[in-house]
Amino acid sequence: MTQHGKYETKILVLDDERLIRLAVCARLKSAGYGSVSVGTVQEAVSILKVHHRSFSAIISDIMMGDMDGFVFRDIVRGIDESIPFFFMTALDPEEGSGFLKKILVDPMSYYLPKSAGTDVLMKRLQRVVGARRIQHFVENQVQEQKKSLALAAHVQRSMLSPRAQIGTRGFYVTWWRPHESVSGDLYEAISLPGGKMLFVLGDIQGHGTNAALVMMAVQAFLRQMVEANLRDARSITPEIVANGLHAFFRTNFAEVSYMTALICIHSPPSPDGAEPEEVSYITCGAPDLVVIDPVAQYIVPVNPDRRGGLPIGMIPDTEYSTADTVVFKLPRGMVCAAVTDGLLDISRDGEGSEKIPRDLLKRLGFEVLGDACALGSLVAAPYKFAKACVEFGYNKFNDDVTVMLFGARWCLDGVYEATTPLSPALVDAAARDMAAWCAARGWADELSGRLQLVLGEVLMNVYDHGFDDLQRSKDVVGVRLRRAGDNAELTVWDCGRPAPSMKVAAGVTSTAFEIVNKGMSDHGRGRLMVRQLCSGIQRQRFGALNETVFYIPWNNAEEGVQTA
Amino acid sequence: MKECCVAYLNEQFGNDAELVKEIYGEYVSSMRVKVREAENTLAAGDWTQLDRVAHTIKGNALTAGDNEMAQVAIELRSTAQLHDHEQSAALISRLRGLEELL
Repeated sequence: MTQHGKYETKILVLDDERLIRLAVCARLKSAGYGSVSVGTVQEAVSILKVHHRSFSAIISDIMMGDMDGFVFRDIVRGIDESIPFFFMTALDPEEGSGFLKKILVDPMSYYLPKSAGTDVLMKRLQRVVGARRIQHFVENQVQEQKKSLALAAHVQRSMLSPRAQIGTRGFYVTWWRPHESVSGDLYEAISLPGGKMLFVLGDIQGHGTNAALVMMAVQAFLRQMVEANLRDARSITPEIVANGLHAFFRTNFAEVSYMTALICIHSPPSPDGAEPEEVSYITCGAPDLVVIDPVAQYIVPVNPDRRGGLPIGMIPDTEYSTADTVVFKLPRGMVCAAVTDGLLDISRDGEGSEKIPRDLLKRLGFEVLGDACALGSLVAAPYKFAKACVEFGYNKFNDDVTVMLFGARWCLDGVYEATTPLSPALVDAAARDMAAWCAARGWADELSGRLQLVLGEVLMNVYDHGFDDLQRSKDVVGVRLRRAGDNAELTVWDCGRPAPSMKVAAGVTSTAFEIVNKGMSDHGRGRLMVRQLCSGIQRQRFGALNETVFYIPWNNAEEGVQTA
Repeated sequence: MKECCVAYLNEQFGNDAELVKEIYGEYVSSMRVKVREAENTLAAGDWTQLDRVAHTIKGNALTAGDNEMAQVAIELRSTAQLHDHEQSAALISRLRGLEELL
């Protein structure tokens, strides 16, 4: 092996004739390229195996004593599938040996006649090596951009409100899905005095990083604006929020961006029932609010006059007024659904030419909401709705999509429902709260204790093993508890990594089962205890949401018969 | 030094006299070996190997700018492929003559 100089661009030269190696390397040197020359394929392969990334191209003879140049190329392609490969040969294309065809089989292979002068050699080499350099540069940039996008996506998620909240008087649940890593959709849920909630669902023009940056600025402004006006809740109305956002857009993003938005203020019914539940909202170019009766499977008409305004920030002198705002007294048991128009763009194909029919969207929405209400929790409903769309073949999401359900807190008799932030400090409180609910309904202490243990262990397990450090901070876990036949049925929803399944071959002894069980428990705190306390565990996944159902025997031999 | 080779090599290597001398020297050495190899191969009747040797002579001659030598090597490849002993011997004799002039 002969090495010529230390250069940024290095070429491997293989020829069994020393004269050729000498001449080619001298030409490369004169053009500013470094080179390593070898006389055998064996030498070339051993160098490439270790250092192929340090070469920008290979120049090789075809007819050599120890091996055919094409066989050498096959070996090289097993090491580096894209390194440019120049065949420098004295063979004449008109000889009829077909070597040109063999060269061109590989898209990164090129022909150089041995009679070619320095100029021809260098021009071809520079063009190909330059292209490869650009390709590497672009690949590196893409990698860097992916890293930046991953960070941006994390920052963006951390700016959003928690994805679900079951409050004492109201609830909301969301499903937020970026088209790419980051989204131009935003949702905000801000508590107002009197148990009211301000919900803002926005869709920044475009998607990707630019839309995401605007979105984060809008969120920061929105929170400041609400914070500044919290002393007088009357000063926070949908049209005032819209005007504030519009001024912010015109000041900061005039002619650059605009946003469609649905701005809603939800007032739960007063505790004494004197004041009914109410929603007031303004749509600024966004899909209208949908008020659904999940039991009667009916959409309540709330905006027959088609009130609303233009998108925020689009036209300079826009002013939103009470005439644009809808105020609606909600009958008991209604669910409000706010969506971005990305939902209507879900399609069977990437081009979006076969979009999901509105009738199907409505039917799936009714079915999912009906089931969720019958079982006493809407926490998983948006995820189940999305999965239902996918199962019907509508699996191409061509835009950012956000779905938000909200309404007054309603409780099904005998069903406990709660959400809790995923924080070790709050795990015990969440488990105690559920146990207190059980006690208040006369469930046996032993059963309540077991349920409390299971929930505490499961939440800690999700916290410890379901997330990496960046992701877990904002997740919220949903919990539902009810009696199902001979079991207490505890359902936990989280967005962590799915738990690994445990496989035990048929016919194994209980001891073998316990060994496997113990092995599994080493991967997560409390898993063994949870398995011992439960008569069964079922897992399902709805997109990013895990649904785990734990069955805890209602009747324990030692405890006698429980009462509901 | 053969005039056409020197002119070609000077043009290719920017009148780097030392480099030109080195390359020309390597060319001369290789021709000595290769022409002898061609003679031996013809004597052994190994036409495939004779074709390969002629191919190598052609490549080396083109690299050194010796078109006359390259042209004879091209003809030798043809006669070797036709297993034409008489013509091949004549061409190798011409190669020997050209090699001695280097």
